[in-house]
Amino acid sequence: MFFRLYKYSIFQSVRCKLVLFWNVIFPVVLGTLFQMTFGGYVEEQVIFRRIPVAYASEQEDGAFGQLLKGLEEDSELVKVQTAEYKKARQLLKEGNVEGVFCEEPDTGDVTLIVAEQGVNQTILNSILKQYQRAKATFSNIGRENPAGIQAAAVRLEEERRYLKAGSVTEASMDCLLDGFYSLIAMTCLMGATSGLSAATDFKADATSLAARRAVAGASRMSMLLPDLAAKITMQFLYAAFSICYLSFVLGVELGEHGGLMFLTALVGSALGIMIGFLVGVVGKYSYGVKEGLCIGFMLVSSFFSGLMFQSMARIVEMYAPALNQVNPATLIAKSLYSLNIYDNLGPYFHCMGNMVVLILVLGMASFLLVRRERYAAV
Amino acid sequence: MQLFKVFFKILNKNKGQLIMYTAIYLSLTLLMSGVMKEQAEEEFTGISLEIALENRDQGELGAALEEYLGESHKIKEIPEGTEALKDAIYYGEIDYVLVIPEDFSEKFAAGDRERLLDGTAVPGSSSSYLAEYDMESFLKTADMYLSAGFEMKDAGDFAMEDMKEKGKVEFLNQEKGPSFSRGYYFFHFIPYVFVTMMILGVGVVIKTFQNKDLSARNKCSAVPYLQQSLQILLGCLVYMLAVFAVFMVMAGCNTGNYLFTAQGILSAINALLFAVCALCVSWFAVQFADNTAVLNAMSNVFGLGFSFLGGVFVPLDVMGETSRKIARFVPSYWYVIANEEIQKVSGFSEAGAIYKSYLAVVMFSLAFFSAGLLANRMKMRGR
Repeated sequence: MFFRLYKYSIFQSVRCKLVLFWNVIFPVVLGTLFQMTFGGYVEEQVIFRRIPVAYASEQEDGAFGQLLKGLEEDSELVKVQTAEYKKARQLLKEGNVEGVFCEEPDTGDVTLIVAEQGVNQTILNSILKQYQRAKATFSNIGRENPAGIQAAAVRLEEERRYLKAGSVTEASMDCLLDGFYSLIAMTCLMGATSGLSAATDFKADATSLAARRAVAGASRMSMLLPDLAAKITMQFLYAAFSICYLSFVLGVELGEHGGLMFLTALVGSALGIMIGFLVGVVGKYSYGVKEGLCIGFMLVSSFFSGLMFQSMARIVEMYAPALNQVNPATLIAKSLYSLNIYDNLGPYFHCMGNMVVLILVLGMASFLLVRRERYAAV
Repeated sequence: MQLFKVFFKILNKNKGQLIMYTAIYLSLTLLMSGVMKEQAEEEFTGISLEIALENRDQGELGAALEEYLGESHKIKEIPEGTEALKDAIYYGEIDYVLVIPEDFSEKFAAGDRERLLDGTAVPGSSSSYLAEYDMESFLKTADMYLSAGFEMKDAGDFAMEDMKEKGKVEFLNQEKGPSFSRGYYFFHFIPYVFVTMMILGVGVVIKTFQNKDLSARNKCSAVPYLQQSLQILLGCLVYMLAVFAVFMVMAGCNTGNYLFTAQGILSAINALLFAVCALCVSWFAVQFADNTAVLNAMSNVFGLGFSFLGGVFVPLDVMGETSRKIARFVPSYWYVIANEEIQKVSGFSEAGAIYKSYLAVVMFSLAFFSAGLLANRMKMRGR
């Protein structure tokens, strides 16, 4: 009987167009919107690209111009465009360059003109400062120990690296990924509406189907379990579809632990279903109110996990860390984050453990509310 | 005014859901405006990097390097444990991690200067380039002094002195960047709230009036069709004004005197025009909804869609060039642009660019209203 009821419950879920919209179309639309709005953020704003600059000087080969040429050829730090002063300003205004270096032919003084303050503009300022400092250094050495000037000049010309750069991780350090993790979390939690419908199909005073089931010969629990199992299965498939769409169609780097990501989707889906089921069995409010409550909870929970504001989970971690330990969307998103960022699976299993505990608590609470429920009349 | 009264009776029936959504959205708006304000204030303090540094060196050069970095960047302690460190780098709380080894000064003085320091960063990021460039230039200067025959202490002191040299930097436009007020952040999230509230409120009522049997019965009643439509329209406008008023009261409580300044009045007009636009969007959306559940879905699609595409949830600066071009086709983009421009003006005479954005929102309202009319007419003909 379990598998027959399970099969029909699956059919029932598939045939509901609205459920399909919320679980398939909505995450696809939202994921595509995310990718459109901040998909290229890291590539465009975080990763270093050669900085386009304009060099304006009446002199053909000014000292600073030579320095820029060296930086362009040796270290690929800048991309220099020589232009007249007015043209250079125009290039800056149009956004074709990020800064303009103007060298006075008589004094050799250099001025940097920028349109805004940013990391690239600060790097350009550092180049200018380094130029000024080298002049000051030679002046000091010339005054204090003139014999050392030659050695200092050799050292200045020499290509030498003082830093041994290492990377903290090979994984993507794009904090906007939080938005995608929260989206997967939201898809799992959308199961709350399916859990709610499982509850209304179980409570005889809620729907006629439940009333019919209540008078059937079989035990109510044996009818409930296949229904819940089918709902969890379908919700897992929807969440898995979202993960596949984000990874393979949109090309979002969610992480490499595919199997564990799907396990998270499964546990997250079960959590979503159990939340909806508990809401469904508590009190005698109308279906509309309970559905609103489920959607409201899903939205608020997703908000705190970073769906609408990407660093939200981090802010909550700083001011109310306990909330992150019980907020379902944060637990799902943090599990996925842990898989991508950390080298060990400890934090991942901690989040998964919290989710399992929540499922058990919700399941127990629901069971206590519906056990030995009898109806005199419906 | 029977239909006008019925309009609010239907709304009253759905008040539980509406009040719940209002409470959720109000708290979200207030929370988000609070969070955004705090974040922005931190961001605009400068472009100095957050460098986590551990100086294990006992010599002078390590101390000089630490002092130098501290002058232009914020120095922090390295978080304990790899996970905490990764979290901090992931969320942009740390741009660079530097460990100065125990024997750094000794080795540097002895001439062993290649790759002495341990630096960790997000590979290839602009901020790591900046941090490394600054450190390398300090060490290069110290290296030059040591090569020229200076003692380690003198090399460190002179290098520190040289580092005080400043470059002359000018801005292309001398205008000072706008400082965003609390009012800016409160009004920033209004498109999401208004679109959702209008679709859920007005949509449910119009959907009821569009019920086939009810609509047929109303058409053969004594009240002329035009008057019926006007009464429903009046109901919509009153509901819209009521939602607008609630948010203005909230804005008054949240932003103090802001509403009574020229900027506040411009923000209020911006919000009012967007409320009209949201009303038109709800009129358009309701034509495609078969029941309230679909309306609920549509409120989320339009609310979140406009918010993500239009720069409400994601700053416009973060969006790529193509996305910004696409964003011009949603009304929330023009609302956000107007909201930003409002912060740059001090009077109504300077608000030319803002009026253009207002006009764009009005045009979108007309477009959605006309599209809604067309869809409605086609539906009627289909019947």
